[in-house]
Amino acid sequence: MRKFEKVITVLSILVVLFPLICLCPVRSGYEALMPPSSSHILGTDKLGRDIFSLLLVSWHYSVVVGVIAATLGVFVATVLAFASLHPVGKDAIDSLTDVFMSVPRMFVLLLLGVVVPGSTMFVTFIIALLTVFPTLRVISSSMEVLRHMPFMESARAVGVRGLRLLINYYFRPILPTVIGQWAVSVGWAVYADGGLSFLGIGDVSRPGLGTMLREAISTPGVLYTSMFWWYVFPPIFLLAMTTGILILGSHLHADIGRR
Amino acid sequence: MRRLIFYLIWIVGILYLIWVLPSIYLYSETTLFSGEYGFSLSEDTINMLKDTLGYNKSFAEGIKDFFTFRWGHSILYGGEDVYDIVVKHILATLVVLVPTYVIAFLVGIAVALIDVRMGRKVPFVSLAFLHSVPVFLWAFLLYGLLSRYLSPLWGVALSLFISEMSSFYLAIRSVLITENAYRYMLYAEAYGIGGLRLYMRGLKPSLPHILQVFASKFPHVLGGVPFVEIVWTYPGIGYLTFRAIVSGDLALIRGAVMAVSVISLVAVMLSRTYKDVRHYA
Repeated sequence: MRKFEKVITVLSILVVLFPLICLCPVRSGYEALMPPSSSHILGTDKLGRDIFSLLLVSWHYSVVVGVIAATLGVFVATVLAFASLHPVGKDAIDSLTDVFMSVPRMFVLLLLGVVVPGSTMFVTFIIALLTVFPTLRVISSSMEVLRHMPFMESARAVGVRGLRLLINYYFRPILPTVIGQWAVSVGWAVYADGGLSFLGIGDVSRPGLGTMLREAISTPGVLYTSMFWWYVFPPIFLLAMTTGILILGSHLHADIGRR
Repeated sequence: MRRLIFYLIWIVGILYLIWVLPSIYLYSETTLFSGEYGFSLSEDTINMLKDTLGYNKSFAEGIKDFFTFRWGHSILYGGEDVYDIVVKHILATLVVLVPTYVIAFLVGIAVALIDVRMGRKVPFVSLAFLHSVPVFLWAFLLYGLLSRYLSPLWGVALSLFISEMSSFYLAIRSVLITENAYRYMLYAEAYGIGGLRLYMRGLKPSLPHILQVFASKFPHVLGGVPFVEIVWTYPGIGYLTFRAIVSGDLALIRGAVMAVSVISLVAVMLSRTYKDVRHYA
């Protein structure tokens, strides 16, 4: 089982890093709807584009959107979690988190996705905004637990104050939690981006896993034909990506925590 | 008291956001009311239409009308009352969602109990996999496999069940593991209480937590509803909201999103009223 987990972890690292460094162009101009063969390993779509190259480009964009949105969201959440150490800040931020988390995120995402211009940058910002509050809830809870730890009392008693207290006694112990939350947020951001493009909201001109799936299933009767390569591979890639990111986050969380 | 004031401020803030956001989308009212050749409509006519449909209300008026069930009229449904449309669609969603949610919750508890009882043998990889499958993928997968055999109602129910059962299982599993760490569980084991009976004992005190999980997951499930309903073309609140957003029906967007938000706000706020005293010991 250990070996299996190691293999999965290495694959997870590849899932995240490979699309970040690889930006190959979409190969197009071929015959439409060709089945998988040696020249097109995943076949072609109805516009004659090579599905494998299209998947790689979509994968790249999904990971970039996910990583940027999650990093922004987790950064804002961490700053707000520090602000919640103050009693007034705590009341304000806890209540804001409660209220924001009570509203279904996907409805707000749909609404914002249509309201803002359909650019990748805006979609990334919206997703980042929606990842802030679940992350904030976890980080501020961890900080609240730390605040009541005996070592924190001792640190305060020996005169540790200000930035040193915040960085060495709050930030460093919660770093594994922050990393774990970052990974969960990347997974959610990739899923949200895929979901929005699946519904045709946001930047529909850029290649995306959701867009590929929508294009395939919006063709009448496609699910009853043998053209499985058109609609089977985008969900598999999306699943591999979100699962890989979660496993990677879990290992990072465990490794940094152990140190 | 201070916290209560903050709650009120944020709730009003978020309702205001939901009220204002859809109106930003209506950048071309002329096109909306009279199609591409909207120049034939005068300013007065457009204003009259806006008044009739309930677009010209201020936020305060809108909130007052929202709680008195005067939600305006829909363009998409030929001037029908928004309240009637939203209620009809919410009921269609709840008819599927509530039984599915309860069954998924109970099955989630059973699976979590069995897993914890068996010594948490389920490997992390499969847990991560379960957790990372988006609800729209479940819907799509089931639609691809079973759309010939299932009606949209059953398709939506099955998609939501599979997605939520795994999510409940993971949440309840972690609650049970936390509960197992308490010393009384060790004492109970030392007294000779073992097997499933021990875990049932652990389940009882953690029931409020589990119920909190039950309530607090509601917005999450409601959030997944649009995707599932769109894939299965089921006429529920998610599909309605999507259609309203795409066709720019301001009154309908406001009504649907506000109704969904208020329902989930109430569910979550109720679940927040319980606090476990052991956490403050």
